[in-house]
Amino acid sequence: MPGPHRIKNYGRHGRGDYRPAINSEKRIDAAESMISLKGLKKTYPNGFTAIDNLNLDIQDGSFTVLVGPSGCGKTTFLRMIAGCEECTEGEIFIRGRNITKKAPGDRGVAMVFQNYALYPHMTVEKNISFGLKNYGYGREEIRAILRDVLELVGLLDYAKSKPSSLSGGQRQRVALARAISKSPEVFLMDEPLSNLDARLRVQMRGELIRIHQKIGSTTIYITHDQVEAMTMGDCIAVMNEGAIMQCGSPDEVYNNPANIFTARFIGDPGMNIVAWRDGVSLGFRSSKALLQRPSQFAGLTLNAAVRTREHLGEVYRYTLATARGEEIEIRNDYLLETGRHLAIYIRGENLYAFGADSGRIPTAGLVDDAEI
Amino acid sequence: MSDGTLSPKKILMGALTAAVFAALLAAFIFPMFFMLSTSFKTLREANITPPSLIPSEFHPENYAAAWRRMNFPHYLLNSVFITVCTIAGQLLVCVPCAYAFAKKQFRFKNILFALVLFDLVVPAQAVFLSYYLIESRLGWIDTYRGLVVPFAYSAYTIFFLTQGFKTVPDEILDAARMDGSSEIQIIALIMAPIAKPVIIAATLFTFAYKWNDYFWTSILTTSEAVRTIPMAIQNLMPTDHTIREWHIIMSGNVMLFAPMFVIYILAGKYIKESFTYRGGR
Ligand SMILES: Nc1ncnc2c1ncn2[C@@H]1O[C@H](COP(=O)(O)OP(=O)(O)O)[C@@H](O)[C@H]1O
Ligand SMILES: [Mg+2]
Repeated sequence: MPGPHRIKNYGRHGRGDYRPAINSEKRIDAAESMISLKGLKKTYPNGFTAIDNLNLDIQDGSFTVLVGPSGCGKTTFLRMIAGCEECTEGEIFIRGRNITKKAPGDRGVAMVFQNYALYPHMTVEKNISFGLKNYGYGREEIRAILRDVLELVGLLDYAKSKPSSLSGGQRQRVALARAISKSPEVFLMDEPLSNLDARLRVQMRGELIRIHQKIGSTTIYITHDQVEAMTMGDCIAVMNEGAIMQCGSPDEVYNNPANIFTARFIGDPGMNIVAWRDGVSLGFRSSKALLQRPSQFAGLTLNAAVRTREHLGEVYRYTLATARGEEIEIRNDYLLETGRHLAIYIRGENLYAFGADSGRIPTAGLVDDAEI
Repeated sequence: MSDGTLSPKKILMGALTAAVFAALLAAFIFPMFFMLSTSFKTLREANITPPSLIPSEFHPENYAAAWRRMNFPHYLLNSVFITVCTIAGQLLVCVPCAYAFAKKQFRFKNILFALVLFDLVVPAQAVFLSYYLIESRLGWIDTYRGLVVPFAYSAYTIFFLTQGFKTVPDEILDAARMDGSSEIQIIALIMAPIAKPVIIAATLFTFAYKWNDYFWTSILTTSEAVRTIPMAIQNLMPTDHTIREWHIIMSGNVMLFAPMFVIYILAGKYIKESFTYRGGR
């Protein structure tokens, strides 16, 4: 893809030594993968293991969103790739080069930090050129890159401003421009939009995607917000307690969740899960719950009582409690009174089954006529 | 006092507050005022009891006399040179130390920092003999390096800078690392400029400490060669029992104090900033 600007790979003039062609390090099989993580583990000095045996391959040019609840180890994971955190175990490959022991500046990666991490004493321009100078770019080249990246993020008029005089959204753009300026092989973004207000966040989402499509660098984007993940990622990695639960397209993680965690975490609302028998649980999306028994019905009949009702405008959002006290959520435009007992019906093809280890198991023939 | 009524308790508190302020004022301002006032008096007026607050005649020529009799330029040069070198030495030694204590993980860090903290409470009087003996072995007595090199390390400066550096967010330093900076570049181009108020304040404290130092200079020198202004003022004191020329001595004191006062006025903003410093945010 032709880039919009004249940015070259950094390290061309500088001390970066990660160009694969001149690298003597052993190349590994995953040649088509941009980033390959093998058995990563991070144990902090206080003994806490934040990441354990993490394996992941990320495709060249993809926009991979790593999503998971707060504290699950997303930042730790990203900082390990960036080189800001040592790996206790495991190896990191970028284009087949082992960079596990390389300094942060020599990895060909750039990062957008959660709190922007701009240099407060430097102007916007200096914030961007600081790294370029370190990489040995000439003055003319830096000027051209500055113009390109500031234009890309729409901040040409702010080149001489200090970060303290900019709004949150503008600071985030500067951080973005700083990362782009180095035209890295890999972009890392740690919840870059979490400090922005809701409207700006939606706008910046679109802009990030636009920029990604324009420059085409492999991006790993972190968020705890599954909506952001679903709308932005072309590949989603779901993380929980330091492990990748599932990795796939938004479609796949939504329609084909590999385990209960992913099923519950992805989607708004997440999947309803009810225990069935022999340790097997059944799951279904709230949009698939029917209030009337269809003719020729094969599937799950679920008896429950309406607990709460919320008006969402077009539909009502109900929480229901099953006889065992499990809570499920459905959305429907029927008006139901709270306290009412009713049966809901889910067709077999809309059911998901999970085994005792919470992993997905086939439903075929399992639930032709189940009742809870 | 939001409700505006005056209970006896509040009156008492108000009176106490006023008294404390008055005491502080007396303790800090009055000696300076008296120094300044005496420096313009005649020999006679400087020695009367009770002393006068305002001189009845002004004699600015006392300063010329002090300048001459102290051989002021010689000591001024020594003072400036030694103070500047000490500050430079401290910046070279203490800034990297503080950076390491504030932002790096290394073995024995806690023990080393505890030693620095301990050093804060060790009085100079307890260790000066060791300094003296070491310097005389090295042949450093009566040299500039004898008055500078040992003082490039300062527990106080390290502690003060460490506390300030801690407030600078790690993310910014990581960003600099990802921008390909070495640790030295991070210290010089990122940490130091961001923590500028803290560094300036520490420098000023070192300046005041070194500029006014009498104790160490008197121990580590034996001749006039490298002595500084505080010792020159001491030379204005008569060695026999003749009358003390307080007016001349006070003129010398004002000359010692004046540069510090000017610098404080110029940089006082940074001192205040350094105490409310939040890492450049
Ligand atoms: N420096 C550290 N020392 C010890 N534990 C840490 C450190 N940094 C993070 N943790 C812990 O590691 C876990 C993952 O943290 P983090 O990667 O920041 O999660 P996330 O970014 O997903 O919210 C958390 O439980 C956190 O408390
Ligand atoms: Mg985080």
